[in-house]
Amino acid sequence: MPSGKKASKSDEKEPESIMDSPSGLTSSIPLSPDHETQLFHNFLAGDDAAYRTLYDAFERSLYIYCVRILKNESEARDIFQDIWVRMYKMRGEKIEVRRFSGLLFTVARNYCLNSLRDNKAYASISFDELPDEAEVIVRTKDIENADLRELLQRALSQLPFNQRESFILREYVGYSYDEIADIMGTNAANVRARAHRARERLRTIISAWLELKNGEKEL
Amino acid sequence: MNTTMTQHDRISSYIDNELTGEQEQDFLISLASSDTLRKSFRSELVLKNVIHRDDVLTEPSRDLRPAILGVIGVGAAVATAETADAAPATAVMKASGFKTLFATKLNTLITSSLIAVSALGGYTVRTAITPEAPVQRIVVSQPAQTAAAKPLEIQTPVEKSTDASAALSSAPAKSTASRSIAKKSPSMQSQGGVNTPINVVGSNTVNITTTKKK
Repeated sequence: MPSGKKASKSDEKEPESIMDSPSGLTSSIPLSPDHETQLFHNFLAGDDAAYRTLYDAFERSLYIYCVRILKNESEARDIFQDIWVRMYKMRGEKIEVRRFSGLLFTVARNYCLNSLRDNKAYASISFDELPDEAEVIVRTKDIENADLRELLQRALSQLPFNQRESFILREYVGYSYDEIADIMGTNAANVRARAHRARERLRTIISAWLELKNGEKEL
Repeated sequence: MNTTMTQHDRISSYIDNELTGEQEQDFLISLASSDTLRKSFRSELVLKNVIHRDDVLTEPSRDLRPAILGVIGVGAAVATAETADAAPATAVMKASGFKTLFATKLNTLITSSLIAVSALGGYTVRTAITPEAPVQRIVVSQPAQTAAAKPLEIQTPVEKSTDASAALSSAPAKSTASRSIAKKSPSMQSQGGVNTPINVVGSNTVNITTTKKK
């Protein structure tokens, strides 16, 4: 699984409230980059057990990626299945990869984008433009009583695709910026900037939510 | 606005561990002095916390694995059998962390309780028994050795012995010494030209007679 992620400093400050590391949460069976690639080559050579091991290792992280990108769990399940079927069809082919997970998430990215296009959501996909909806979200009446997790999901779904993807791969899946850059076909600086913007956006929303809650308490 | 942007970037960089030592110091000083920065930082921590919760709660269902592996045809039977353990592996890992911690604490508590109870029980029993119990003293009396009366016995390797291991383990050292004594200085065993019978265990008994030089 991802190796580039380091424990954030916030963890050191308040370990009781913050996750240890994003990557530690998403990997069912942690595999080293070499191991996962070796397993993939074994699978290509016909070893089904290797395929199962890879599935177990990446099931959770890939599932979360699909759910968070597509915003729809049932659709995410279908796409998730399609991705694994597609991966299995590579059996017998001669494919050279540096890392299996890079290939897996690149395939997943393409499937998710296709799905968004097919569902007419593509017209509303903004890749880098930032719709100014943060204030709208926090001012919505029902948000005042919303669970913070639900708020995060809604806010996340309104982020531009590239920011959302960078943020998800960074925070949920736990990849380094370089690894994300490989998947997204861009450079690490771009990915960092996107993830920072996404984080900033979400933080603003959470600040507003916290102020609302604090205001309620004071009242 | 620009200041806010910079602060956001600094927080993100701090979270990503990308600040140099000096920048980090500056950031921490700013954090201590700026309410706005503290609020933003708090939001970041809350965000991390929510992501963590969200991550934990987003689980692929248990039937997904056997379904997908079944569709593909990759050892569906095996997959089904493994599902109970493998599919929710992460959930188990997360839960097991707490369970392990709890179990460890509990075990420690139980063990220390048991030790305390047994120690207390032991002390009680000892206190109850001690007054009545007479103090037993074992006196080991060593018989006075009269070297002169006893013939000198020299142990030699027991070729006839059936206990080979005993012969290998203990006999040689003693016998070697004995042999060397017997060969090199027979006068040591025979004081003042007195005939001393030497019993050689395991072999024939020989009498060595020495004469004192005049």
